[in-house]
Amino acid sequence: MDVALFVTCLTDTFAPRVGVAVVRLLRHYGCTIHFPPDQTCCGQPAYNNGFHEEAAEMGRRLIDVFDGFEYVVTPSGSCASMVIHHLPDLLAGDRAYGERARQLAARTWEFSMFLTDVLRVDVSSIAADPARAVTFHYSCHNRGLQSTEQASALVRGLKEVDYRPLDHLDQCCGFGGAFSALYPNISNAMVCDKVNAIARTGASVVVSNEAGCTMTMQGTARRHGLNVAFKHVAEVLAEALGLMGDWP
Amino acid sequence: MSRRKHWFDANVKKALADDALRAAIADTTVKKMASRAAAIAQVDQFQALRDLAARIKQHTIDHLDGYLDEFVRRFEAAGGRVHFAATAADANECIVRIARDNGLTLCAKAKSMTTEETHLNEALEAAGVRAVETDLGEFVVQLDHDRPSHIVTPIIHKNRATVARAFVRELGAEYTEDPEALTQIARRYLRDVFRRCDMGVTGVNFAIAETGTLCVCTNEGNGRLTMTRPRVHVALMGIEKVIPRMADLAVFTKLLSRSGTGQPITVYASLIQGPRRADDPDGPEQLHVVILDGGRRAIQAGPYSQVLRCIRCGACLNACPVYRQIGGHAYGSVYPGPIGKLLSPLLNDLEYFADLPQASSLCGLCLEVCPVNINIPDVLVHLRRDQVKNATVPWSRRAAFRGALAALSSPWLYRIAQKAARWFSALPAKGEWITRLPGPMGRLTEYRDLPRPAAKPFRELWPLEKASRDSAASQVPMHVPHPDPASGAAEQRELPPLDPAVIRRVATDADLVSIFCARAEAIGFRVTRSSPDALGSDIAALVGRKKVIIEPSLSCRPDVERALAGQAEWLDPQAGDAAMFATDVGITGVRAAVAETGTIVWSSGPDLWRGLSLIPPMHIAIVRREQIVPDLLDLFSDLPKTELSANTTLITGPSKTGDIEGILITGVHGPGEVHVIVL
Repeated sequence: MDVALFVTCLTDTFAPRVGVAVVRLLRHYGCTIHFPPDQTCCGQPAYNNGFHEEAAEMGRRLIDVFDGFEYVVTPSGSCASMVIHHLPDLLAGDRAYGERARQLAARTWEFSMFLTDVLRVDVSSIAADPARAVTFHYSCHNRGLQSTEQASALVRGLKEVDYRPLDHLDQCCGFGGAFSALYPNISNAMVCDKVNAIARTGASVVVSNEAGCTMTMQGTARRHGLNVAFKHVAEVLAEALGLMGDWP
Repeated sequence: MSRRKHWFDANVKKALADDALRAAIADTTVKKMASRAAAIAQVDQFQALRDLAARIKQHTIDHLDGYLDEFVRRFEAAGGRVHFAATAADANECIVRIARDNGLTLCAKAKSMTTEETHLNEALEAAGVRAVETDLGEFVVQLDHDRPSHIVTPIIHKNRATVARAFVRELGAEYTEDPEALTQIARRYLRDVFRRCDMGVTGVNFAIAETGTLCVCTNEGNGRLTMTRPRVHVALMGIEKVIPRMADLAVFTKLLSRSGTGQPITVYASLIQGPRRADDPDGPEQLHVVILDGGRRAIQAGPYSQVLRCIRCGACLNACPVYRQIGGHAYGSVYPGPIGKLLSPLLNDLEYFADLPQASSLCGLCLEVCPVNINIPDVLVHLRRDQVKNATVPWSRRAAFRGALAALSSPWLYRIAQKAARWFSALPAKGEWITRLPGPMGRLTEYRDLPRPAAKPFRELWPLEKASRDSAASQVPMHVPHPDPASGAAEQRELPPLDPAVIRRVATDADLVSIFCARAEAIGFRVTRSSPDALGSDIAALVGRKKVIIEPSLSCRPDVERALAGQAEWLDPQAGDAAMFATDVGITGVRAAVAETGTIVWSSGPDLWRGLSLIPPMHIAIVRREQIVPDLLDLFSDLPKTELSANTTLITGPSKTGDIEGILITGVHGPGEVHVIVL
């Protein structure tokens, strides 16, 4: 199966290890991975902040870049949501790109949904490290994509996993893109609640499959001296399968 | 020039510094969300039910004039008077005129967000009419010269100590922090208002076009007293409150309080069909409805008409992570929280409320909990688009965005930006993390550390990864379609049929008596299963030596009187208020009962006093088993088939409030003890 990886700007720039884990994991499950080199941004920041002409322009680029791939997989729920929910609306009146936007939306998958719903991966035989308690934060866009169950099942379902559920799981971490820069104090109050909830679980690993959430929670945990590791679900699975040996 | 208003920042700063406020809000909203989840779980087809609600509301909004005309025609036919108000000032002027024309001086007010929107109290006071808020929370707000901070739980920002201080200061009460005692202080004070008031003002939850009926949903009983005691009842509603059919209430009553407070239905749902009839013993002589535009027409005509679907349940406030941090007052408007971020700029002015659409992380939990599927995050994003178009976004932000977007649109500029960010971040960084950025960038590191861009972005690692061998392609699965995204059902513009498979929770062939008794107990009624022979002694056991009034028309009356002979003291309801306010117990029949919710349904008529199930502290209702219908759907479908009484009230449990710290207190203004005797 041919899969194009849409790595997203944040993962590309700040969390390349996540990209590597996604590639290795998908290969492990039999996919052939392609990485269209001209990919940049899906236009989500422009869209969310009301710059809809610019977002449409970036959307058209994205459609051209990912033209022809059977599946497009992205490790970010929010970018998946942009492509699946918003681009088709944004380009609905566009003669050249409207239909192509709908086609791209149908072919694009958020990573954890791709594993559970397309590849039908069963993680129950993959052993987690029972010595490291794990908690899981789902991104709000996972909820928008109705994939919270799929995403958390990939962690909860691991063999021998010491899974610690997070209180108030439905509450946003406080990132919200430009929101966290425009209203840093509100954002901070939100993320402090989230980091306190993480601390209460006693987990040493926080799994989150959204780079924005991870940067926000990790940056706050560091500021407050909370020593926990943050990982994408792809990293957790790739590590458990021994695929990340050369990546400490 | 930056047009950003600074009032919002100041409000936020104040709220974030108030730990007690945030703790109080978090505590109550978490409780309400948990209750909501439990209540939603009782509805098998919740998603389908809210799709249905959204479609009914959207259809009505799309055909508003026709339904408003129908409502007005039928409301007037029932003897009510209709007034249209274009603006808040017009609405107030109209209500003041009604007071003047009738020489009214004391107005009891039930909780109404629309009267908050028009600032009616100030207008009444200026005209010499004393307006007293009678909902516990609103009463405290009024004593404190404060504003409500939540559309359902007005004093979510206060605790028992602040309530106690207000009662000591304004009412001369003794200091107590016991929520039960505080509630009783308010009850005693407001009893006097209810005895003397000549005007009652309420809001409206639903206005039914098919019958010209007003539906008002409340919990404490103050709403019912406000609609029962005064000579004149004035109801204020926005134009969007109209719904087509009485049976639609089955959908909306099932969603409204489940979403807001986690109750299966509010304690009281009053259906008002004109003023009191000639042979009704009590109730208002005049009924007025004031129908307010106040900016709603403009919303209806614009691209965001879905906002008018809102039924003011408050679920989005309880869910919202931003509301939880900053509370209701920070929004600078009557309508706070997610729905307020839409209503405030749309009803007023996008420039003044410029921060509201921006101050959201777009987490979407509001959409998930909305009982009428309002896509709040989507409308927020489109309001932001309008702000970009109208140039109400500061130039500095526009420049920053346009620059960043240009860089992100070109692969080579993107690469250069990535590299540059890596190099420049070396200066302020310690290792791979930045703890402090200089200048205006400093706000990014004010509260948290920022990661440096990685030494090698993924695209530089890819050639190496690519070189390692792909595994042999395994079996190729079938193409899997995406699950349906958020429903677009509301896009269908026809009035949808009321599908019983979606709405009904109790089947017509179920054991109605058992279900009714179990659910009636669950919502706080005390249920006795009796028989015609035992009825007299069963009631005697409940009444003891108390003062009692019994509906004269009850067929079991002679039996009850015989059983109580020589012990209870009989009062004559014809003696009027003196008897009604003196009696301990009111014994009534019912018009119907509903198994689904354990609801009893009382309706007015000759010799049927509205006050009897409302004013005495104990109410005994006698239900014959053949009066029990399975579901609210059956009740609301059957009601319009015969002539409606002036007042039909669904009663589901004893009078209650959760206004003080979300603690449940029974017996606020209505009876605290309700016995249901099933024959």
